[in-house]
Amino acid sequence: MTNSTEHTNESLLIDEFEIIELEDRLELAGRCNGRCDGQSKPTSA
Amino acid sequence: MTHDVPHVINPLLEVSDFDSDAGKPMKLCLIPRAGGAGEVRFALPADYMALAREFDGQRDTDAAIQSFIDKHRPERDKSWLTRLVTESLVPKGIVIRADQDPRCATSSQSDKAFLHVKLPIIRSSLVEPVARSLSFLYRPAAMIVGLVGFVAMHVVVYGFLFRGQHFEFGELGIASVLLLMLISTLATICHEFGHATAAAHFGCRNMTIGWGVYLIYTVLWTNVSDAWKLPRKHRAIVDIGGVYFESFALFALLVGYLATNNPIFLFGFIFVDLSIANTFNPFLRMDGYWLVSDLFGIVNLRKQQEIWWQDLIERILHPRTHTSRSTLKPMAKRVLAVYTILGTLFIAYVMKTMFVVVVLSVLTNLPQFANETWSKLASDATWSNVLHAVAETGWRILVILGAGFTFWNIGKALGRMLGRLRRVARTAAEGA
Repeated sequence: MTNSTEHTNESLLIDEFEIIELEDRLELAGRCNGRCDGQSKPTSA
Repeated sequence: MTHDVPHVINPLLEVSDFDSDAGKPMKLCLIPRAGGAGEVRFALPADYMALAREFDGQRDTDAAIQSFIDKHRPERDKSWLTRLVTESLVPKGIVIRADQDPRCATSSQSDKAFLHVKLPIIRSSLVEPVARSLSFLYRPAAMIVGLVGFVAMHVVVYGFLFRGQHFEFGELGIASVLLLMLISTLATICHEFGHATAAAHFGCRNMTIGWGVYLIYTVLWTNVSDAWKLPRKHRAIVDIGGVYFESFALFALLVGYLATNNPIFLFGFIFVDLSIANTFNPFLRMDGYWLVSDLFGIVNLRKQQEIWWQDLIERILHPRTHTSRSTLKPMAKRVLAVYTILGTLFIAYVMKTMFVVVVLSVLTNLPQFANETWSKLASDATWSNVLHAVAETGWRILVILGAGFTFWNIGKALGRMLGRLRRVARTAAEGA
């Protein structure tokens, strides 16, 4: 790989030597905002 | 780094095996950040650690690398290994100067990770005792009981209780909407403690729970970065732990309905169920994303998608000389391909839906809405009408701002990605 590849992959957290910076593990869960995201509106049974 | 200065492997480095689907054995390195706030985690090929251990604080770089070559006969030549040390191991703080502070790692990620807003609300010193006290719920027998209970609850609710019920969100009064918001928030807190408890059960530390904004959603989050040290199947249990604990909230809602016969509890059950379904969407960074990443061993899944695109471009431009940038095994590469194609279609669908909702619906109807609202307030300015007008105006503004923000962010990300892909294409063309 070339040096330009190193620049290419810098923002990918993976460098040309295959060393990976692991991304922060944030486990998310959405919550109701009052309109409860609209599309999740239940309809009649 | 000059060759005269003795270097040493970082004495604060914590090293463990790293479970992924990379084509070679990997190690996980944990290094304290500069300033002492947390750690940075790197996954690297296991043989690099043997090289790092040659740095004993006595030898210079040249001698340390030569000693590694003599002992291990690596495939790479000395100049490549020197670049590995000077351009990667030293800047990352895996190997440091003998007189350097070992708390020296810097991260290339934003402090807010992938969130627009990230606020810790429950510190790890509070989360961990609670999580540890509940960790018995992750014993296999308890989980089997939980799974059976989860299935049974859904059979009861959708097979019997939900039949013949008629629900209309628009018919709910303000008190019911507030109660639903409270139910949703409490269920989400259960969800986050589920992740934290699973992580604590497997010996992880430093779990913090917080609030944030992800895309246009307000979310709660749990930082379980320490779970990277776990085997993949344990990481997957941490991923589904949120839904496992949220099912306790479902149980409470079911009991509430059976005890009071108030349909708001049944409504809450369905809302929590819909949010559980949403959390398994693998294309948003919700539980489904981490589950795909962990089950298939594809680390930094979102970032790997771009590498897949880079590989595709090179393969198209140079089908004969192309060598893959990805270090994944063939099976993981196939999964990544399917995930990337479906993910791209999903983003296109989301953007189209947003365009239809925001531009074609909300924006075009805005003048009519403003006229009608103004006429109504002019003729009958009761508190109820004013509050209704504020609420209706407020959500339209939020939708427009949220969509504008999302379009802007996706546009920026696409622009950056296209720039990088163009550089890859140019490099490939120069190398041809």
